[in-house]
Amino acid sequence: MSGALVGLVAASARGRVRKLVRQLRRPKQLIGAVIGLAWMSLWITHWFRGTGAGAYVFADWRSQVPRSADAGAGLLFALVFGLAVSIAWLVPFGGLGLPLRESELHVLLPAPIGRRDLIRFALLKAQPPLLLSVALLSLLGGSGRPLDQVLSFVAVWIAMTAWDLLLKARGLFLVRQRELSRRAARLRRGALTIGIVGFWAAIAIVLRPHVAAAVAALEGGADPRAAIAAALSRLGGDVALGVLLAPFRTATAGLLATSGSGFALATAAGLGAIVVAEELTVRSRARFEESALARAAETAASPTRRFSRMSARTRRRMPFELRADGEPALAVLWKNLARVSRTPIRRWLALLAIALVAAAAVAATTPVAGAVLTAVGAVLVFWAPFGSVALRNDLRTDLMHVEALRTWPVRGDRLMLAETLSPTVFGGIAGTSGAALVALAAIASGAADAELFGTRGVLAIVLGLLGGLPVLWGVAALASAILNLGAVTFPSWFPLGPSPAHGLAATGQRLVVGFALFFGQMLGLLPGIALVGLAALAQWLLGVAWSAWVLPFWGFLVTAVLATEVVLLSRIAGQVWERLDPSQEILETGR
Amino acid sequence: MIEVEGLVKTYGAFRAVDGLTLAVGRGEIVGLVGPNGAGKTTTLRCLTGIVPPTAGRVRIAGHDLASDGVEAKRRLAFVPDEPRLFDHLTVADHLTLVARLYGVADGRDRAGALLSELDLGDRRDAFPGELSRGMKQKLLFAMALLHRPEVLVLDEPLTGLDPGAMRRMKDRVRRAADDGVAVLLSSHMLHLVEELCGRIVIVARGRKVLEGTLDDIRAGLGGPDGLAGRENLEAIFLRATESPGGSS
Repeated sequence: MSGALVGLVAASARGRVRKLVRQLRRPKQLIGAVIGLAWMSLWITHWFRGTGAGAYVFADWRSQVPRSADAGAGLLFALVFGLAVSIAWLVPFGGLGLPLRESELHVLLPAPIGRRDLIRFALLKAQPPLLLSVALLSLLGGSGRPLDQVLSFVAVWIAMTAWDLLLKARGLFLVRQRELSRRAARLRRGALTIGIVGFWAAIAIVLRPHVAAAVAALEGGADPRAAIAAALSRLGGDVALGVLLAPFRTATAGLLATSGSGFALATAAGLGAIVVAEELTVRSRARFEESALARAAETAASPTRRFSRMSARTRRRMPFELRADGEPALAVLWKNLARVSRTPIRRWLALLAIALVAAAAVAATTPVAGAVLTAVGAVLVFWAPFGSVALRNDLRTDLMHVEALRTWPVRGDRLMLAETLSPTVFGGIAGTSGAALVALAAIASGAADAELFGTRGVLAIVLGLLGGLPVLWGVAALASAILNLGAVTFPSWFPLGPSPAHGLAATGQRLVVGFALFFGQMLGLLPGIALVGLAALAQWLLGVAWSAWVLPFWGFLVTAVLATEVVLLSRIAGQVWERLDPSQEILETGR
Repeated sequence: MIEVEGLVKTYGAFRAVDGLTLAVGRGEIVGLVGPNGAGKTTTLRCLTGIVPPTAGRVRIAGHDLASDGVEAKRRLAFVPDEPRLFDHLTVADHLTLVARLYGVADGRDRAGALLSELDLGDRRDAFPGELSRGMKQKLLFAMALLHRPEVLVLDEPLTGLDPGAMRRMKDRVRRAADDGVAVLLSSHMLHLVEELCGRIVIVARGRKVLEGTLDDIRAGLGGPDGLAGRENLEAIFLRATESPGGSS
């Protein structure tokens, strides 16, 4: 491979590190990165070493399972790896060609470089980020002596590099398929499918007695751990399975090697397999250049791709008709709703009504259906106040357009209220649907036939909805108002744009924002809850009997407090907006 | 219509705009030119309310931008140098949005007329991602003109346009000025500034270096080295910006 290409990969990696170091000089990036790293290490440590499900398989393996099960476990690893590779190769779309950036292609395609070198470059450029991931995994997830961590690094690197190579080879295979005649392509695809299906059929035949024996042992009341260990020991002794899974074992054998010689052998086999796979990939006859350009352009345009795929009819739809006269800030709400969906709100409501009637009919059929609908409803209710902010159709996205927004003749507080209402509408609709689902499931199951809170069941449910739904909308609005106030007060701390940012620092920043949001919401709910407590106390002191009729009143109290808070927060945010001096970073975002 | 007095904008110790004073009257087209980093874009951002000035006063059509921002902005339109449109709104949606924001009663009819005039009539349902740079620029221009602004601020308005579109855009700017709109235009295309603008303001390092009609400036720069002839704006610009601190 040309030295220039190796140099390019090294320079890119160096550039990335330099950029990272430069970014970490800024407090928000540094704090975000520290929190992100702490979170990741906690998660990985929990998963690999601690009490997570992975602990059983990885770090505590030696104490949990006898040595005789090691070979079987190694085969199991190879089986999972092989299954993932087979599924990836069976899917005939996605990941076409090689993942090269437009800038790389525009420089490298006209350059006097052989096509095999270009493929090698695509393979090599995956290595720096892959090595970093493997290092992090080994450092945070590895246990024992430093030498063990080095060995774990090598074994994980072999497995991940093999996976990367197989995916790139698949991308080239798919390109070649398009170049061949339809008949030849169909033959190749057919042969591949038959090969993979046949392979797994053979695996299934070999595995069958082992699974049957393990199931019989478990049904016979054997200790699950002992039964699994025995099954793995039997599996390890199965020569046929070992032969069948040999190609995949070369990639994963190092992960569970138990001795120095075993590790050395596994590493040698793994490296040999990587060299062979690389050579086969590089020798591909696929003309990948055009598809790589198309893939690069598609990646660059991916944020707006969904809009360009819209039909002419959908393009003419909007959530509601926006007339020219009236409150200007309503235009901001209209615009932000359309970012999530152009379906008219009336249609949303009609579809939801139909869905709820159908759900009620289904819930009445079996208790299981009722339970499923209750679970779905509960998820939607929970999503309303917390998840709706994930839509990002608020100031966090609009700050990217600060140059336009700041010239609009809209008062700051009204602009902020409009930004707050956009996610609230979707959160509120989702929450209302969820609550209605739960209520319908309860009514259909007959739970509402009994008396609830001193009132007839159905009536109590209706009163509960009347009290609870406004609160749900209020909490959703409060979450959005807190986020908007945060975004306008500390704009540089919020990852801007319609998609959540990735990376260590962004993860840390998201955690900080998530905790702040959670505590803000709890704090915002306290006055309303206190007011309800006072009302309940007064009711008790006055000796008024308890019934579901108080629920709407309580709901009204909490909602009134929440609405006041939302207006207040929007006013504060509006004042900050009026005085905002957008930094160059914000002004340049999205350019 | 545009009155800027002692405008200062600092970023830390850096003075991006340093005591700039200028005025643009009704129906006048004034060109703001200067080398990269001279403070042109910052000036335009200050007088359109995008960034608050550190010191100084900006009045748009008689309304103070700091104390009466909404009324000032109602009379203002800005075409930025980079077309940053909402990627989820179609061409027609952008104009509907502007019509509501500025309360343009005949917004629909006017939008249709502007789109036809700017050759975007058949792109009404296109998203910004499907438009060329020039088309985006035209859309920004249509959005700026939709509410019949009294003040038009243009930052590099002709970037990305083909010659035909450039000609139409220049005609449109002239027509707007004929209708009484005050136009402040910033551009590196000096021939455009020379062609369109009645008066020119040259800035360098945040300060005004020269101001006046082209003839005034030529006369002002006249001297032993002979710039008083018929030199074009490019020669004047180079002379003025290479020796900053020249009198205004």
